[in-house]
Amino acid sequence: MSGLLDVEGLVTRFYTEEGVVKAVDGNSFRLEEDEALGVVGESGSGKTVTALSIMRLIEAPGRIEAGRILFRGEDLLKKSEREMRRIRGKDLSMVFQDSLSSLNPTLTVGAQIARVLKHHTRLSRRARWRRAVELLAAVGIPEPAKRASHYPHQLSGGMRQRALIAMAISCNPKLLILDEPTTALDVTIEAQIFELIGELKEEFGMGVFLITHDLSVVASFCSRVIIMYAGKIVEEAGVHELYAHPLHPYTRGLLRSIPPLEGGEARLQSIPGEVPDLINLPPGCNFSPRCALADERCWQVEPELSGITPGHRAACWRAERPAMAGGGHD
Amino acid sequence: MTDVLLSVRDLVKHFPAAGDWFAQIFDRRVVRAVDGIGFEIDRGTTLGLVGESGSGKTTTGRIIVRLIEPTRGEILFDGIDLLKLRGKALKAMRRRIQMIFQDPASSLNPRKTVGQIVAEPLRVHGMVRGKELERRLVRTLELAGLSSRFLNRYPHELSGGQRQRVGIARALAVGPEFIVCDEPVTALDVSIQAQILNLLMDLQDELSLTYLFIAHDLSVVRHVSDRVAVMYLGKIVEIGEVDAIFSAPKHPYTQALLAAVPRPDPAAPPRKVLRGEVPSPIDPPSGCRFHPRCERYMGDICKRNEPVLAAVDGGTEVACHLYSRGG
Repeated sequence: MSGLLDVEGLVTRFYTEEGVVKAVDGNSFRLEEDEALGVVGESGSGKTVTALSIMRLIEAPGRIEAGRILFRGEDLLKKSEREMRRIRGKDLSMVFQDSLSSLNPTLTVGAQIARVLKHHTRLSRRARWRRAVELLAAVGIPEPAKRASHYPHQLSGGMRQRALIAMAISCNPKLLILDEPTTALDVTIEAQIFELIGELKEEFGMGVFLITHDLSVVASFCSRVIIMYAGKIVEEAGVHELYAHPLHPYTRGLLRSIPPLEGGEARLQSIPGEVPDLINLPPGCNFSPRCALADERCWQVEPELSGITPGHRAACWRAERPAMAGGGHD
Repeated sequence: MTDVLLSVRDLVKHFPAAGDWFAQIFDRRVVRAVDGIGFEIDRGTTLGLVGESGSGKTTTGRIIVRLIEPTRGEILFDGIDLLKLRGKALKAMRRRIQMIFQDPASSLNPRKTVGQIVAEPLRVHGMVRGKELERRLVRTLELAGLSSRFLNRYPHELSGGQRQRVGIARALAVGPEFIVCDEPVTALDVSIQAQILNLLMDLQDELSLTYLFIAHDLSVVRHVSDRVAVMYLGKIVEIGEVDAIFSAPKHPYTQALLAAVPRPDPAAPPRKVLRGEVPSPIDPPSGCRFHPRCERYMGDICKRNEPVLAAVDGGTEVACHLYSRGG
């Protein structure tokens, strides 16, 4: 049985003047149909490059070097650019982080949605416009008929993000990739957007691949989480399992870095140091220079991502040992 | 503890809605960015200022550091009328009040080294030179958690966290008493965010600094603040002790804001969604500015009368008719 999306051994590298950037380094994961999978990581973790690889939007000096990306059983890496253009925006859709730069400033939002429909459907010109207005209404934009003839700069950030989502779902995609869709937005607008995506997911039964740095957003929206660090998946589990029993020291550090809304803790337990340079990765485990638990083996041998308990994978030499400091075992 | 360092009274800032002077002839409308706010900050404490985009929190911070001239109002700093200061007296005051910006990438000059950036305020104020300057630079960088090997680096060679440390060092260089922190960790990764928050809190203890901490991230504000002011469309709707506001928010807007925040816990109750968007500050709603979105809307009184801040139990001050019936 295959899932909606099966990524196997994906390797994406960028050949820069400074050296080879190992942006995504041999990752495998699966996304089931109508599942919301969260991918959490900090800058340079490879989460966006993973999404761009799935969309086949990696440009020079970047290259997908190895792996398979099975989307509904077919390897996207074997598709021609022409075939990809038929898939992108139709079955496989992506919403980018910056709504202002991912919309065309010289076209009204209605015209941009109609353009996507023209590419993928046989609807008439008038039907396309009608559908665009319907879509804007579906994503909760007030006065959709009027807004359809507005240019992106005339809309607020929240409305632009809604318009982008309207465009992304215009052809009922099977998989919607969201790259930090609410990072620039206020928390109230963020809550509105995720409510909307949740409703659309239920209605159309689409899978959602949500990229974010925000563990709280993932906890409230996704059913499964992948944690990435320096190009590698370091942990993967169902949300309830991950937040109750985080195994990887990096995941635990991330969770402890969030100031609790309930107050308490006078001092946050931050993770010391910074994300390593992807051109000069440390030997052994990528996280070892920042890890309080690291020992000789961690500095020398890279740990594999392996199942610790059913449905819970972690790439850590120290993960199997129970009752470590702050381990959250009950 | 009742040693007030900063006191703001009836502060107003209206920007012209139209761009240039010519357009302004035809369009006399104004953006009511800050529309009559007041608060006090005790020495050595932090006031958190929260609100959505367009609430006026950043404008408030910029007025206090005198980057923007307010339309009217009064700001007393250590008993001195800040807005009346000109020339030398203002320059001397700038040593006492500093600012840390949101985006360290755009607030640091890319053509200058870290050493030059941090030395700039010292040079402007003619405070130290020569050997003493060097020693001062190294000490300031150390305070911000950077070693002296960063002195000759350029901003682009640094990580986001390191750049923000340079921004902090630049603010600390002249030995200020008060710092306006404008979204200082918003652009940083979570693990780095925690490092910078810890640093800011350590510096406050060490140097008895007073902060105005502007942020839209409520858990960050909760973590660093002693008191919190919640802004909506240019007004303060609630102000009080941080624990009181977060455990028992009074204003329906504060309640809605807190209910919308996601928790790092999948078992937490689902986020509650506040409908609509913040209305335009050019033509804010009549009466209580929050009334079109308010769940507790009571009709005419909310639509017609503008509520004023008044104390309720627990010492919190709220501007809401729910708490002022009969008054």
